[in-house]
Amino acid sequence: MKRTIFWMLILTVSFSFVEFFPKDAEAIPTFARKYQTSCSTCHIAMPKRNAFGDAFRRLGYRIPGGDETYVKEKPVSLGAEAWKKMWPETIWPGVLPATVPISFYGHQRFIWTEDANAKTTFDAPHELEMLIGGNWGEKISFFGEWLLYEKAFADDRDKLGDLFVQFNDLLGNRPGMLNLKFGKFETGASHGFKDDNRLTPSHPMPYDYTVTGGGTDKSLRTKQAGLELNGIIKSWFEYAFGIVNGNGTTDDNNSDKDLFYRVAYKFGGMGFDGSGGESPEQLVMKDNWRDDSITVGTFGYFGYPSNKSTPDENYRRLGVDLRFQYDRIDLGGAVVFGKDEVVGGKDIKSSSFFVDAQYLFYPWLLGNVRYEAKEFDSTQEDINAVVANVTILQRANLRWNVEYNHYIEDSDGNDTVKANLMFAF
Amino acid sequence: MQISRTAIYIVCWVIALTFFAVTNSLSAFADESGTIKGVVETPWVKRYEALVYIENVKGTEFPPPKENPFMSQKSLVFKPYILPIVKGTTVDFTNNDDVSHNIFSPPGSAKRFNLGIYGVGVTRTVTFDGLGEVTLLCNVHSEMSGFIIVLQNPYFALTDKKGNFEIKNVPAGTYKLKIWHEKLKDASQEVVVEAGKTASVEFKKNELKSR
Repeated sequence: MKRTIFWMLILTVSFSFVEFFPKDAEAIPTFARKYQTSCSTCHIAMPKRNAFGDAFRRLGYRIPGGDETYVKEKPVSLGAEAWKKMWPETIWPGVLPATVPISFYGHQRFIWTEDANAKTTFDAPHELEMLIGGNWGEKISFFGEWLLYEKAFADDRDKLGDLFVQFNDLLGNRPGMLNLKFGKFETGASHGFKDDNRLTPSHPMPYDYTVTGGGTDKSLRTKQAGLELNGIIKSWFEYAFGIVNGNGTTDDNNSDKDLFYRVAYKFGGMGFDGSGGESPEQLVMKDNWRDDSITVGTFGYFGYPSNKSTPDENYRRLGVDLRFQYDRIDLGGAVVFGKDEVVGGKDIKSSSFFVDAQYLFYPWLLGNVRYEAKEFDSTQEDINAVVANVTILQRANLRWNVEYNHYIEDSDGNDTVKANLMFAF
Repeated sequence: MQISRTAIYIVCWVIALTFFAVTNSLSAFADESGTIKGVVETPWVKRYEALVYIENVKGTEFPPPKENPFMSQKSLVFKPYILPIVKGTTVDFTNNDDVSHNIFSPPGSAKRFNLGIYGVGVTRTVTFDGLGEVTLLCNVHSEMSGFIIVLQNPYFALTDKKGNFEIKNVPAGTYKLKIWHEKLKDASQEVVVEAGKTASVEFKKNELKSR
């Protein structure tokens, strides 16, 4: 009987495997309200974006080809644009969003865990987040994410996911060519590619794994405080590099900073800056999920966690990624190689990879299978796993999904099935 | 004295020919103008009108209107937002608000002026004697802005929300048709206006560049 109830719940709810999904949800209804457009203009299934949504993010939350013409909520003027002619005799004019740019994201889930004391658990609410985002005029953007509720995060600093301001178009009128991000954010080494555009609530291992006994307990996707320069050159080449504290949410304990980079090139499809694309009016309710293209990238992160009282235990992560999109198929993968210095011991070498296949059956029904692994030349356990996910969009802002996480070796962990209901408003 | 029959014939013929010539020339004069109709293809026109105008009609001086056009300030907004005028026109700046304003034009304007602070119901005037764009700002309310565009001739039109425009009664000839838009660089096209006909013009999206 219990088993029957369990499977009924699975069938009626929907599932997934969730670690810290909310940490990069950028499906933010604030933008939907601002432009009076559907979430599906930018998202295939939140947080996975289509090419247009990616361009929107890269340009600092501006619609490619003239953002202002699409803004339906007339912003509050902090000075008519013509005041620019009076500078430096006056403050440079700007705008405030017409409404407070706040959205919320909720996540409920039901979990089944193999060989656990409590095999079934209702984890509802799993979390509640407040999201903010918008622009102060054309050249300045902001984004923030505050976890209002999640059991796993007790510290307020952990609850603040992102809070950054991005200064756009530092090279004059070339949109997105050079931008400066300042604040707390996921570094460009991992942000913006498959991790950010996954269908699964769980993160692919290469971006998520940590090394035990090395200089850091931070994963590649950890939010960091610092500066990032990013941009797009001639539509098809993108770059990001920057400098961050390296300590994640905690205060830095040394003067050495961590460095990171990512460069990528896209062949075909819509340009990183939205060039060659269709207008938002054309995109809504059309095949806006299609972006036949190949994207290749390489990234790196160099950690310098030294301080005066402890010896250096520097570490690095170097990786390459690849994404192939054709019609309804979205294939991707990445491999990361790590090296962590250990004081008085042997360096720990690690590697992790994933390959991922997604298929869009209908715009409201998507499937996803991923194989992933992480290996260490230390006593840390190697892990191989398969993740399968089915996503159903009941509405553009209401998503169900079922995710099954299977470990190849029983000793690597308990298999789990998680049903998730995610919504944003 | 008897007027000869021949003389009467001649006078009648002269009158008839004169009448014919006059009426003929009048109708010809009436048909010497045409219409320019077209569209400015940019999403900007949904929010801000574009001004389409003939840059120069040679050999003619166009006097300013006898009655001054007005640029009102109402509810902290310039009305109209864009006011095209002919060179030499005097514009009335009337404060129809319940608060004071201080209208001025910043550097780069075709006419620099500062009206100072003036109260409710007060009208101040400015004569615009140079061609080009005049930006209007208010020193008291920084969100207010408007434009006066000073033109050589009265052949102009503002677009509707779809970018359509129509300029009527344009003398036949070949002209440079230009657009002014606060968000776009100036663009122009040559247009041939034929008497009694309508010339069609399209300013295509890819020809229009942001300022």
